[in-house]
Amino acid sequence: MVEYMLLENLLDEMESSGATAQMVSISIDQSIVDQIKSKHNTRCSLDDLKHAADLCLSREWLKHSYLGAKQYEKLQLTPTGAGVARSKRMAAQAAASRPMMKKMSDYITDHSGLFVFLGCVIGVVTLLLKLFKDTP
Amino acid sequence: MKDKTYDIPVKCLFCNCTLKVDTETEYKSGDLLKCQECGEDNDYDSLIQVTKDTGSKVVMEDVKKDIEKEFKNIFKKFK
Repeated sequence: MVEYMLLENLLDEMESSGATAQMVSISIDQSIVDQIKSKHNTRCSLDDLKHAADLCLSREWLKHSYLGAKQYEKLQLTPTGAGVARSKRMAAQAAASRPMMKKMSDYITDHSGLFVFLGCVIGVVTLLLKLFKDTP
Repeated sequence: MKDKTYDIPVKCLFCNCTLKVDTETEYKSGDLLKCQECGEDNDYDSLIQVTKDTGSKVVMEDVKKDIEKEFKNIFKKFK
């Protein structure tokens, strides 16, 4: 989701420059859109990013670095926002490093309803086939 | 000032609900704690940091109130 990409972008900038959250800020403009598109291989527009920024501001994941700043200018990470970005990054790394069997097991668990439905369909079809086969 | 104990709940970073986890498991730096409400994984270190910040704010507010009360009492004595 775009808001997590925005937070991760800020976190990456902090870590690459060795700066704290108070020293790094971004403004939502076309250059940020291009950065996020190339880094995450996704299609998003400036409006999508503005909407994501609104979401992050309302959840207090981002804040304005000074009073009087315009809505999408000079946005900084809050401690909660940095925590969200780090959590997402760690969860993605943990998911990527799972063994194949665990990935399959997790996929089945996440889609258990679908597998139950398929099982029911197979059971009903088998029953119908048997009934039609047995009737003269 | 009397000694006080503060209970600061650890809240999910994503949905802001109080995190409910297995109390028998010991969590450490680098662990991910799953929120039962929203299903998101929360980084242990970030949770501790945010909770500490919240706790500091609560304590500071309380200390300010106590100091204001003490000042009012001092000025009342002088009157």
